[in-house]
Amino acid sequence: MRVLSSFFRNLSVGTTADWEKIVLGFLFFLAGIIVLRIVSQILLRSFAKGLREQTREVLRKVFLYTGTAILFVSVLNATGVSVSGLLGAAGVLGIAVGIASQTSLSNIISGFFLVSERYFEIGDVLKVGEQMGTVYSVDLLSIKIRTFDNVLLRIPNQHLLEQTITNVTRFPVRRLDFIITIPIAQSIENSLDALRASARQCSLALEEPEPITMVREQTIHGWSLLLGVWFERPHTVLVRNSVTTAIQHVFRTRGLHIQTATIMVATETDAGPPPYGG
Amino acid sequence: MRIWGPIHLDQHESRVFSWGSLQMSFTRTLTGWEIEYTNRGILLTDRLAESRTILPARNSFPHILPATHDKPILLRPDQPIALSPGTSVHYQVFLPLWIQVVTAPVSQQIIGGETFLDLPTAPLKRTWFGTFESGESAYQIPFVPLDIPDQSADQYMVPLTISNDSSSILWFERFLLRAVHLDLYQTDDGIVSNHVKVAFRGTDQFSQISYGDGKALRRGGARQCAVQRQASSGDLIRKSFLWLRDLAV
Repeated sequence: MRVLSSFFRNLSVGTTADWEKIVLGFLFFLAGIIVLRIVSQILLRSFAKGLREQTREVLRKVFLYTGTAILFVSVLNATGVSVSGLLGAAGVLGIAVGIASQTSLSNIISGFFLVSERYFEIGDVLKVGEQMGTVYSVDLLSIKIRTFDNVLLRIPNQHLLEQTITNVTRFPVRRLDFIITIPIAQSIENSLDALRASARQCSLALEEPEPITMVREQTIHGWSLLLGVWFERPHTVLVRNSVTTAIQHVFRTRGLHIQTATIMVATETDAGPPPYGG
Repeated sequence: MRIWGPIHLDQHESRVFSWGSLQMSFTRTLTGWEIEYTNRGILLTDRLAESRTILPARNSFPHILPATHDKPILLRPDQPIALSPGTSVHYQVFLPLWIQVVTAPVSQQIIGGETFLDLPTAPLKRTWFGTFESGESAYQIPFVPLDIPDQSADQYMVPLTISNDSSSILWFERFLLRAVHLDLYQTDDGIVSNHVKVAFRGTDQFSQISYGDGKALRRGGARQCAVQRQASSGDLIRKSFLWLRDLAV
């Protein structure tokens, strides 16, 4: 304590008592923050067991931010700083900040709507516009999405509320569509049968709900066919790869063809007229 | 009959085992065991080869144990079977075994433990039982109740009794057998599980399922060779039957 007093005496600004108050106030503030964190954990474990993770996270943050603000004002009051003057200044500052932070406020309110809607949870895979990834965190102003190439994306809550979001992992089973085109002269029945056989060859493609096969449309390249395969959510990549491989294999072994788009270019030469009379 | 238990091999000696589509080769090395196995891949036309090195604890050896499926099994008869009110039917359901590799001292007779490998002996097709929101994942196996085959060494038999305790007809179109709750016993005729009794109560298709304790099998000289993967509370009330109209919803 004596060392501390001599240290403060050597400082040129303020009295020793002032510095001691400031340091004690700072230590009290730090201790208060630690206590707040511990209390928030205890409260969450005791009273928010049944709540979803993102709701718990929002509650924890509201508790922490409010607690920190109260703690800060209390520490200032205890160290002798005039809080009334500060609050008066805070009022003026609040108006200025309020005008400047309309977007932030809008994001906070949008965040509450998003959480109450329960459309997604932490860990769900979302598609927002062109971006797709796993929900990493739900914060007061934004949600963070970790994309599949491991990039963290921040999307403001207001932006999220305004546009269409696709929750890819909401249900435990999904359908993956494979679209192929066959030559116009090829048997549709045989081709649909080959598609069904391809789905049967993949162990992860569900037997029920049964795979769907159908003729989509006639295009300039031939008949467009669809194979819809149901699968369990975590197997997306495996099913996509294995069913595509199976389609290629089954069509080849059965002597069936998959049409690719071809462009014929005719060039006019001195040797004679173009082949198609153009 | 196949003997389940420890694998006795000298150093640098190998042995090959084969069950259904699964082939396993065990080689004892200076420090441990090399296990190579081939089985059906995700594409059922492919064969997938993998290998593992196992370093057992001192004086421990790999043991081979039979096991049940790690998920429920959806039994689907070729055609729906109608069970009149108040009647019951008994089936012997033959299912392909799983093979587990665990390690333990040679002298120890074990029926379960921490598994190093857990492999099916037949290709498995996945299916879904129930609604999109609340169904469960299962394996689908064709069920041929009127043409009971001879039990092969790669199979286990589940004695299944279904009784219709309701006042309406029970249409048996899809039945979910929760094999994870079954113990396995070695008998003279092959591997048999404890008895499964399902009482259909009618409305909402909820059924009372009870799993036998295997006392009758033990009295008949059977030896337990595998423990259930998941403990059951004896009697369960679960959804076991699924009708076509449910799938159409």
